[in-house]
Amino acid sequence: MKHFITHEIGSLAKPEWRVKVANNKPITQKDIDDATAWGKRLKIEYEPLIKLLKKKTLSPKDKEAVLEWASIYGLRMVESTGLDYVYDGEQQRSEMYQHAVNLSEGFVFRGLVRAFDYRYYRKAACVGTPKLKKPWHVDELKILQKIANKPIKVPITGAYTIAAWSFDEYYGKKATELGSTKALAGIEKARRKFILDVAKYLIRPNIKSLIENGAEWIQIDEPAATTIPSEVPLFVESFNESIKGLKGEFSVHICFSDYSLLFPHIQKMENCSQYALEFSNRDKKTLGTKEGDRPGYEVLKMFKKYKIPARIGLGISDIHSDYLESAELVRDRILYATKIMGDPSLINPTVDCGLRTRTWDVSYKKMLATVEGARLAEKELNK
Amino acid sequence: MTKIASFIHGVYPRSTELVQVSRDVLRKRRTVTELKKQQQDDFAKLVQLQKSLDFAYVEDGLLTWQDVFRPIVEATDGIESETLTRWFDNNSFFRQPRITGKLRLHEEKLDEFFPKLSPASKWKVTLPSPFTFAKLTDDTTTASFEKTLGEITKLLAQVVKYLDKKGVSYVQFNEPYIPYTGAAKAELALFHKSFTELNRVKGNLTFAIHFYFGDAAPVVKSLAKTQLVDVIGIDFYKTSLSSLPKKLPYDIIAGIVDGRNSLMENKTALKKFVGQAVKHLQPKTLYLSNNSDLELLPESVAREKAALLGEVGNSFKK
Repeated sequence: MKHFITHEIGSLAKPEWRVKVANNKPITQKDIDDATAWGKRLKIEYEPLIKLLKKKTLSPKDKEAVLEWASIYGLRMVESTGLDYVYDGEQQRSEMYQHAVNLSEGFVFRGLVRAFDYRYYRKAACVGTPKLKKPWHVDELKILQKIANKPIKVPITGAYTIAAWSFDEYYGKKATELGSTKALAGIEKARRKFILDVAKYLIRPNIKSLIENGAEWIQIDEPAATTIPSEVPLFVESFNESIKGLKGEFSVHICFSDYSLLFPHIQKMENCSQYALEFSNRDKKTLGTKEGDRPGYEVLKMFKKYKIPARIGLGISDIHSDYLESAELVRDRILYATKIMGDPSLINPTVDCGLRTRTWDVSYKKMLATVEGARLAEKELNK
Repeated sequence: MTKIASFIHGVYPRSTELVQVSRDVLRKRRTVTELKKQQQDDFAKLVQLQKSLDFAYVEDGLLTWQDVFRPIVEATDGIESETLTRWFDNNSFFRQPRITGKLRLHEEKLDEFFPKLSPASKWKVTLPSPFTFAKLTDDTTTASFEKTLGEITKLLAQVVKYLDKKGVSYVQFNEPYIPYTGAAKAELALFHKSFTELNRVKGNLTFAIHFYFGDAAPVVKSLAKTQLVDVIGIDFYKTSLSSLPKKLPYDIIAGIVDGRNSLMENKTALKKFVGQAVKHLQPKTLYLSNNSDLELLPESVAREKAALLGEVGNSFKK
């Protein structure tokens, strides 16, 4: 009997009431209605939250409680879709990079930079050796352990991405002599030191704390892994450095990247149980499982060719579009990937990436389609 | 005697206010009218900044462009904006253009993306180079890169004619693809051919090609014996000065402030480098500029770097 293990990737949009409370903005009736509607839909005993939201002024303790309610809502929403591994949509975090940098020493925020269109992120500069102020995710893990009805997978931003998304005003400072060969070589050396220091002094202590507090599966998010093709070996080295000497299940999530650049380098990744990748953004929307029907998934052949000993977190739903993939389209994507990898147990259907840019309604339907598509694929394979 | 001048090029970052309004529009908290108003404010401030720094040319900062291809793609039949794709080795993305049929430009759709600047003699515009544009385009109508490049070159020639009619003086074509990936001899020949085609519509415009995101030396060497355009630009964070041929037959854009790192350049070091570049390259004019688009920086940092360019450039005028 084939069964596909399904999961999400990490983020969900934050409810307006959570954002407003965090930013000291007034709660409207619409926010109350939204909290009520989702509370009913998710069968949450939501009245204490409504009571809190109706308060004229909120104490710091009240605000913490509202944040915890956001985690309850996020977790229940993900659980209600039927996914096997869950999280709270990262409701306790401001954003995957900003949250991490805020809780680290050696960084100063410089301002907003555009990622694409009207999407931006707050970018920091490294100005000293990185050091942990406090573990990034242990508090949220403790909250979720108390309330989760399903197993948890904890996402954490990886070392290479933290470094790649930061300016370097510290390690590369000495190598800034303009237009000289010596300076160009110095920059490479400085980059390596920067990235490996982030792995050693930020990511490894964080993962250690998570494991000590009961986390079993930790997903290291590395959307920047292939940003600089010549640095993919450095990404691999940073992954190994991040989990050095630690025992647990470790996987990696990469997205919107040229995955062919990962090969053969990821053969050297130690103890990476799964590669969760975005695929559907680059795939056709028509049904089919024949050769050529699923161009977005062709790169899986490289995992097979290079004998990468890991599962695939198979992105089957585009997170940058409100387009709702049908269960049948999800099914065909899963079946095609299964055909390439040759073993259904190597396929874990998921959405392409975090769903923070979609509404909860769209996110819910996309995760639901993930589960329904997995069941249809199982039906097909179990015939 | 080399004349030293300064300018910025390419996509300039949006101000914190513009970022906020655009985010609010996306979340349906503000209107498109408010967004346009803020874009105009940003535009006015950017123009004022460049004028106050006595830049040789003034750009509009492409503040309304969602990526360096989008307005041209959206103004043209037969080509669409598709998959979200990484912009070289940056945490920045563009929609990959996809050619699906015969290209036909609707000039009137470009108007809102090229706001008029005065005086016209100082009006400069940055466009993507045809080679980079073609390389990053998915052409479903042919497997021949030469044909794709030919079509994109024709399209950009129409954009150039349009800009010429509007009164633009200087067009800079940004070419990151060749320095980033390298190019074989046959591809370099195609690159030369596309600019030979573009030169037919050049008229009195000044044409520049700026090479960045990689070592520009190989492609610059291929241009050393001909004068393909008026000006060539070099990213000196990726290219060593000593690797370039001496006495190039071009004016030079020296990419000397880093558009990809917030670390502020040292003024004394920049002045020293300008002296070395003048001695080595001996151009009639050396334009001090950013190596890559400044949009990869927060606006406050970009503004500071632009001011530094102005200060260093103006110090040589004295």
